[in-house]
Amino acid sequence: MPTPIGRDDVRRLIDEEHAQVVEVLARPEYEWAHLADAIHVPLKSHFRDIVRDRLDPNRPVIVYCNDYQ
Amino acid sequence: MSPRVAWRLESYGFQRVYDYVPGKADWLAFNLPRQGWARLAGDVLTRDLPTASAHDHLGDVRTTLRDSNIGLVVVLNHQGIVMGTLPAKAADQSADTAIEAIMDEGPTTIRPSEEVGPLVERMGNADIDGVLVTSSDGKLLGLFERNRGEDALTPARKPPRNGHLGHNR
Repeated sequence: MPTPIGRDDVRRLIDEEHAQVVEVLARPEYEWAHLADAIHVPLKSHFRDIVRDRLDPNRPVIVYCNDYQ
Repeated sequence: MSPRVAWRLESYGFQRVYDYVPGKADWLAFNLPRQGWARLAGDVLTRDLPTASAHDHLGDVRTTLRDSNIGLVVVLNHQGIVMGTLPAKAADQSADTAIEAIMDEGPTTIRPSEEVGPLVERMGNADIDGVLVTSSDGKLLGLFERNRGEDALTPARKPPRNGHLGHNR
């Protein structure tokens, strides 16, 4: 089960464990602003291909969207 | 949406998957490092504002108050949370006056994630020159000044390709 985390854990995972950060919103929202160095992986067609090409399964992954919704 | 993606990554064999539940809105509200073309209030802050403790008396801050270049002192509690503001005109009151008794409570604040364009327009319509900026938990980050916001909008509007905005990690 994915682990829910807050802001402080995000920073710690990035700084100490080289976590990959993934934004799942649409591209315009991603381009407007995204967490520094976040990768854009929208939940749409070819999702598995995008994941295979851009993410390392051996590193922690942090996923986020806009807020709680 | 992020929980669905997180679960799918786990189904693909990713061992350590985390869902940052409060999301981008939370990150931006704390003025944390980001990229993108957005112009946000957190990019245009005047920092190192004159401050006082809510437990101070006027005699403790009179000099700070008179020297303030923004016409006021921001009153904070021990956690750096904004409790109020003290206008420069208060400097003439007696030294043993408790700050807490005379400060203006509940000043208007905004988050650093506010977009500069609409914010500048609203401030212009209300004839407001500056507004305090705090994180979501109420901690003082700085002051957004309308004239600096207008200057920030002046360069070419083409979005930058890269570059960190906000604090460096």
